[in-house]
Formats: sequence, structure tokens, C-alpha cells
Amino acid sequence: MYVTEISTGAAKAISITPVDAKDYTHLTAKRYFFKWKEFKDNKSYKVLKLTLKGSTDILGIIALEYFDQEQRIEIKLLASSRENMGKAKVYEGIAGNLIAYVCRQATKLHGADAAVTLFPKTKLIPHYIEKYKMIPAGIQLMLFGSILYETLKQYGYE
Amino acid sequence: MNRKGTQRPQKKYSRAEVAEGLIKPLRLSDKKMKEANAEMLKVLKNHRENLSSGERLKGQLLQLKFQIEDYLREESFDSERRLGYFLKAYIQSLNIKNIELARQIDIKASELSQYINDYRKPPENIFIRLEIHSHKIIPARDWYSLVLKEKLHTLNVNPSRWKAERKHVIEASLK
Repeated sequence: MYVTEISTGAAKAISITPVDAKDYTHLTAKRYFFKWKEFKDNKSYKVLKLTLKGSTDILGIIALEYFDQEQRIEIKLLASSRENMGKAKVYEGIAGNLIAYVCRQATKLHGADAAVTLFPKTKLIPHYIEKYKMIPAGIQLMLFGSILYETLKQYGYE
Repeated sequence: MNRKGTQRPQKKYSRAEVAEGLIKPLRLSDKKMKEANAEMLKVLKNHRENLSSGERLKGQLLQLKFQIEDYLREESFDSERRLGYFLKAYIQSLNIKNIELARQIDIKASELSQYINDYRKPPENIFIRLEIHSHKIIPARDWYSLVLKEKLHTLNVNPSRWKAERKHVIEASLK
């Protein structure tokens, strides 16, 4: 799995792994937009980080809640690091890779019934639909079926 | 999540840029959250019921592919999860009988049965046929790696074999 370094166009291999307790000291709201420490001792959520392979610097982070009975995983929160936001970002594909990884986890657990859902801010819904092809489901969005498979393919999981 | 202490990215970035890099939760009352979940599950149920047989099969094959990949990444060998275990799961995903898969990959049913029961390991061409059969979803490399994983385990944990082979060896001098 790769992100693209925008200045060179080079593909850089990434790892997506669980956040360690010691990572939380680096996960400041200043660099990662939200108070990630609130997830530290909350066992309801799984928090994952994206780094370049061989690096410890966290480029992106995601918090998930598993709803096994409903065969879905909900994205509670996702953030690219501040230097990877906006026009001057360093790497392309951080959020997409994290979302695709969740699609993989959901498919591994639930096969064809797997779904990834989220409760986005209303004003951002059209942008998530455009960028990630998400399907509207009431006021929520989801990835399911062929759209989910396309996400897996786009990010190298298929 | 408490909003206190969070940074507000939308002041600096366009909405498209925020959506490209962040997913922020919508804050709702418990009642509205329940209603929204009920609505989402209704839509999801409808999508699940209308999944085509091809999409359903693809999802099942991808599930098996990821299970194999993750097992191959594990350092330890699990005697319950040898090639035969995953071949059985493959046939179950396809919802066909063993004899039907044997016909589709042009081998005898008795030969496939030996692979499923781990009495015999398939030659390399069978892994290629399996990859083609799965529309390349499960690569020949992964089927083959299941056999290699077992062989490496057997090589390392067979003390009587190591003892027997030691009799044939004069160790290189390290002096």
C-alpha cells in the first residue's frame, strides 16, 4: 500500500497498525485536529495509525467502532496530519488508504455483507460522495458492495 | 468527543479539502442518533437484499483472500489452517460440491479430495488453475505459500529428522 509524495510523484510504502499507548503523547490536537487522547482508554474503539514503512511519524489516524451484529464498521473520526491537509500537503492518499484498510477489515469479517459507515457533517456529505463514492443512507454515508470493492481495488487490496 | 481543544480546520481549508483529509462526526442527540441508525440499517438491508449473485460471490472470495493473507502474515503455523482448510472454505464460498470444482479445474474428484484432506500437496499448476478459477482474486502465490508455510514448519519442528540427519554431517570448523 502506498501514498504519493506530491513533490516527486514517488510512491511511498505505508504501514497501518494499531496506535500504542505511547503514541498518544504525540497525537496533539494541534497536529491531528482532534483530542485523540479521549480514545486512549476507551475499549469501545480501535484506533489505527498510518506511517511510512520504517518510520514512526504518524501521517494519519482513524478511530473505529465495530458493530459485529450489524456486520459493519463505523468510522468515528479520521485525520490526516496538518502538513498533509490542503493545497500544500506533502502526501496524497492518506485518508483514502485508511478508509480502504477499514473496507478490508470489514470484508475479512463479514464477506459480501460488509459495510463501512460514517456520520459526516452535513455540509461535507457531497464531498465524501464525490471523493470516495460513498452511498447515502439517511444522514449517514456508507461503502458497500461494488463501491466497497472499487475502494479495495483503488488502494491495492484486490 | 469534547470539542474543547480541537482545531477548526474549515477556517483554513475549503470543504473539499477538509473532506479529503478528515472525517468529523456529526453531533446528534441520542434519540436522533438512534433514528439515523435505524434509517441507515434499513437502507443497508435493502442493499444487501439486492446484491447480485456475482457481487455476493466476489465479497465471499475477498473475505477468504484476506483471511489467507493475514494467516500467512502470522509467524506461527496452525495445524488447523493448512491448505485443505482454505480449499474447503473456497468450495463453501462458491456454494458448489467438491466434484464440481474438480470438473471446473480439470482434475479428478479423488485428487481434489486428497488436497482437501491434506493427504497430498498439489503441483504448482493446480495453484495457477485455482487463481484463474477465482478470477484472480486469490493468487496462486497465496495458495502456494500455504504449502510453503507448512513445509517450513515441518522442517523446523521435527527433532527425530534432525537427529537422523546429524549422523550424516561433519560440522564445519569454526576455529
